[in-house]
Amino acid sequence: MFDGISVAASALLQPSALAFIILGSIIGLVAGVLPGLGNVQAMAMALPFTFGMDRVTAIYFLSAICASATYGGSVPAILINVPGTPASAATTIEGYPMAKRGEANRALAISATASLMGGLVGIGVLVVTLPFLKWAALLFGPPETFMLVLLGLVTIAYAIQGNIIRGLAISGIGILLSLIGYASVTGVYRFSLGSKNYLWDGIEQVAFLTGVFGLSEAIQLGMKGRVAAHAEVVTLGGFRGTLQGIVDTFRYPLTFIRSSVVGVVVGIAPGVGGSVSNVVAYAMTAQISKDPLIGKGSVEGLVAAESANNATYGGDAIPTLAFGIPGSVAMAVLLGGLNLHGVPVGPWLMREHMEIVWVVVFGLLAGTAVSCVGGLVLARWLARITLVPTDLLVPAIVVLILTGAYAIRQNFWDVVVAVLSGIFGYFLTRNGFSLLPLIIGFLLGAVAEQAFIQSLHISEGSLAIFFTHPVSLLLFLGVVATVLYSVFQRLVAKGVAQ
Amino acid sequence: MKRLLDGQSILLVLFLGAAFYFVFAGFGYGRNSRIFPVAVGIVTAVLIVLDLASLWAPGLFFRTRVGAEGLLRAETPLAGAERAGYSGTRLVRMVSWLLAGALGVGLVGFGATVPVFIVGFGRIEGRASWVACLLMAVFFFIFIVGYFEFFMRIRMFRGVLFGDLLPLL
Repeated sequence: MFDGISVAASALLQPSALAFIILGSIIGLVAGVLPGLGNVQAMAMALPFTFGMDRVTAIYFLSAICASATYGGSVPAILINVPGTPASAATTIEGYPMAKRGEANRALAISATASLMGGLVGIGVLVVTLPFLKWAALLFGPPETFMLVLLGLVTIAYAIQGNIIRGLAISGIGILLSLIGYASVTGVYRFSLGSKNYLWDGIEQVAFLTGVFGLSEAIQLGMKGRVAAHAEVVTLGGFRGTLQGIVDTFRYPLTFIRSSVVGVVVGIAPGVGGSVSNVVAYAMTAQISKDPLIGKGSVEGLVAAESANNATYGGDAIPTLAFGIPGSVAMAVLLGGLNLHGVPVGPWLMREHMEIVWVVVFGLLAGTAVSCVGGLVLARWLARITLVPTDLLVPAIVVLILTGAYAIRQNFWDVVVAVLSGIFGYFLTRNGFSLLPLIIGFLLGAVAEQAFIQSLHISEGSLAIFFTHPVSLLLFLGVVATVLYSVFQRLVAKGVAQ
Repeated sequence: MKRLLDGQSILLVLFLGAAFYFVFAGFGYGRNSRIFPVAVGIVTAVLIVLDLASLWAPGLFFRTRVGAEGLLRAETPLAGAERAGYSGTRLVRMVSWLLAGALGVGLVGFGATVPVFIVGFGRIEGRASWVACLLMAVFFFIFIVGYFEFFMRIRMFRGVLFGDLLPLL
C-alpha cells in the first residue's frame, strides 16, 4: 500500500513542487471565485502549461487546482450571494444571510474549516480504500478492462445525460473520434479524412480537451454580457468572528460526518461531482435539523453544504485512480493530464505507478489546505475578483488556451482543432448534450479497443471470454442492470405521468 | 420541418453521418483494425436513430429525463430562459472572434495576435477602458512570450507573413 509514498512525499518537499502547489491553489481559488469558471476550466487552461514540467510536479499542480476551486466558489456565495461554482449552490442559502447579519467572517471560517475537514475525510476514505483498490486492480486483465470501460460509459451516460440512449450515443462518438490516426494495436493509419500527416497521432487530446471545456465556456461567458457579478461586497466583521466560525464547525460533528459521507459516496459515482453532493447533503440536513435558522443563515446548514462538496474529491478520485473511470469532469481533465505526461490510466496505474496515486492524494490534500487557509486570509480581495468584466476575462481565456494548445506539439493546426472543439462543445451544451460522456469516450476509446483486441487474441476470436471470466461477467451484469434500471425508471415515470 | 431544423436534430444527424463514415471507412481495413470501430459505429448509429426517433415522434418513446441531471447545473443544457437571452448575432460575433484569433495566429503569429486580440475584444465587445485593455495585453504578451519562449524554450509560431510555414496537413 505504501510503495511509492516516499517518492511522492520527497517530491512534495521540493521547493518547485511546493511553489506549484501554492500557485495551483491560487489559480483554483481565483477560478472558483469567478462565476462561470471552476476547476474544470482552470485545469483545462493550465494543462498545456505543465508540458515542460516533470510529471510529478505537473500532477501536484493540477491536483492542487482541482481541490482548491470549490472553496473559492464558496467565497462569492457567502459574500455576494453568487455561487462561484455549481458546487457552492447550497452554500448561498445559509452563507449569504449570515453575511448580511454582519457575520461574513464567521461564515467564511465555517466554510474553510468544514471544507478542510470534509476534504480530509474524503481523502482519508481514499487512502483507507487504496489496499482494496490495489488488490481489485490485480484482478483486471483485458476482458475485465473492456467491460469496466463499458460499465463506466453506461453509468456516466445514465447519471449525467439522463437520457441513457443519447448519453451512450455521445460516448460512441467520443470513442470513434479517439480511433482516428495510428492504431496502437495493429499499426494501421485509419480514418484520416484525407490528412496525410497531421492526424497520424490522432486528434490532439489537450487541444480537444481545452477547446471543449475552456473555449466553449469562453463563448458562453462572452454571450452573457458585460460583468461577471454586480453586487456589493458585504462587511466582513472582525477576527473574533473567524475564531467563532472555526469553533462552530466542531459543534455539529454528526452533521459534518453525515455530509462528508454523502460527499464521498456521491463522488464515487462516476461523473457526478460536488454540485450534487452539496445540494443533497444540505437537503438532508435541512430535513433533519431542528435549527430554526435553517434557510436563514444556519451554521449547521453551512457545515453540511461545505463539508460535502470538499469530501467529494476523495470519492471522485477512487474510480479515477483505481480504474481510470473519472469520478467527475475535473477528474476527466486530470486523466488527460496523466496521459499527457505518459502515465497510463486504468487498472494498471495502481499496479505500476503507485507513486502517482500518492502524488494525486497529497496534491488534493495540499490544495485543500492551502486554499482553505489562504482563502480565509484573502477573502476580502477574492470577492472583488467577481467584479472583473467578462469582456476582459474572455480574451484572456481564449489567448491562454490557444497558446497552450500550440505549445504541446508546436503545431499550428492544434490551434485550429482547439477553436473547432470549442465551437463544437458550445453547440453540444447549448442543445442539451452533456460533454462528459463525449470526453470519457474520447479518453478511454483507445484503451477499450486495445483491451477488446487483446481479449479476442487470448480467446482466439471468441466473444465468450467476456462472459466466462467472473469479474468480467460481474461487470457485464452491472452494465445490464444499469440499462434495465434506466428503462424501469422511465416506465415508472410514465406511469406516474399518466 | 421545425423539428428537422432543431439544433438537437441537426447535431444528431451530423453524428449519424460521422458514425456511418466510421462504419463504411472501417470496412476498408483488415479484420483487427476494423472490428472495433465498425462495431462501435453500428451501435452508435442505432442509438442515434433511436434518439432521433424519440425526438421526431415523441409518442413513440416516452421522453422523460431521469438520473441526477436536474442537480447538475454545470453539466446540463442551458436553461430555457438562459438560452432565450442569447442572441444569434452575439453567437456569430463570438465564433467570429475565435476564428479570427486562429486566423491571426496563422498569419502573424502569437506575438502580434495576443495583444491585438485582447485590446480588440475588450474595446469592441466590452467597451472596456483603453488602460485596462492595454494593461491586460502587455501582461499576457509578457507572460506568454516569457513563459513559452524563455522559460520553456518553445519557439512560438511567427505566422506565414513572417516566414513561418504552415505544417503539413
